[in-house]
Amino acid sequence: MYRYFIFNILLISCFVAGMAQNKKNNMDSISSKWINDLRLEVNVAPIVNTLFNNEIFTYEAALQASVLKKYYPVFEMGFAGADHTASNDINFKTNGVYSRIGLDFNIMKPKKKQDPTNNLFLVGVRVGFSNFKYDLNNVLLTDEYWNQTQNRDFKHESASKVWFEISAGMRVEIIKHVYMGWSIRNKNFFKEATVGKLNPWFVPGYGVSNGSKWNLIYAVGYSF
Amino acid sequence: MKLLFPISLIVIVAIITACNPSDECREKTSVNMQIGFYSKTVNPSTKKIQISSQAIDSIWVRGVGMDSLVYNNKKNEKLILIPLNSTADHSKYIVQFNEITDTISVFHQNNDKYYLSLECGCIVAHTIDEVVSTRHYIDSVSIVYPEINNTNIENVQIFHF
Repeated sequence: MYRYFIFNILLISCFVAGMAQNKKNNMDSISSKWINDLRLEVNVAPIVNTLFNNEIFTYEAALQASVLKKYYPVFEMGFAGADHTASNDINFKTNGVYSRIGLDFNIMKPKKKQDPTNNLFLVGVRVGFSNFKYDLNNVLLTDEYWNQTQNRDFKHESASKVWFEISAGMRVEIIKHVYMGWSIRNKNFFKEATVGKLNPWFVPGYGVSNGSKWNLIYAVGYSF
Repeated sequence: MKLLFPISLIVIVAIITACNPSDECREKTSVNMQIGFYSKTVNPSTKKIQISSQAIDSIWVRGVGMDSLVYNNKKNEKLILIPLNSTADHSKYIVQFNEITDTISVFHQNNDKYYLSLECGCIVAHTIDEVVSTRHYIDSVSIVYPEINNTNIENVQIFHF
């Protein structure tokens, strides 16, 4: 799983480097006409969150293009996991790769008499997907009347989850080509969990899967 | 733009402090088969059978092979809730209706993977295949809803003439 994640990050890096080179060499190409720049971002919010909650980790990067300085298609990818034990001693364990695609719109319009700015106020949507395995350990089944007790472990359960996100946030060019900013997101699954079926407590890329989620992204990025 | 960093800091702190979901089970975890009691009477004028809910004056229920009672001389019960054996494919009960005793056997499948939540864990749900009984007090038995889980729904009806 780690190798798959690292491979994809390398692939994105190669793509970004290739695009940057292409832009330098051929300024009149179609891509430079349509794609103004590419921004590679790392989400640092989950790294801060890990300091407070060592049961959950997330590493996430995003590649966003600027098309006509108006449309911002984005591809995000990450690796996340959880090792959480509830108060009833049931342990949930997972890790997996996730990805999202989406589109943002820049709604910031510079005032007349103001110099053009590279700062962005982006609103948009994402569709996220994760296919992963998880373990549910130490599930105690008690039958008080018939005096039966079973302890069950559910190993390598497979799950595929698809969700959508509504995003709003800003990016500020703090020094040339270097951006910082935040986004707030609201996440919801397309399909509710089936009653009675095993359901992962944590979904990579979504978080704890108990209904609609609010999430913060704090991004540091570099534009090519 | 000068407010970006203070606003960001406030948002980060708010989200970190807000993300502590409750770890308490708030769902019902007991699983019981619900049996309702009904009486059949013949309408003298129309000669048709009428079915009405019936309260049992006194009822005792005990699982076969068990010492403890599920119901011990309970009064005026219109329905009973009885736990099925989660590790066997049939559960057998001795039920005493006032002075008359019957034996009820329930044949069922068990699903020990019926998930509620991480906080509540799993329960053993059942699917009723067949219910048979002796016919001392009981006239007939009918399965109305074979799926038994943690919801309150009538699964079986017992009729008395």
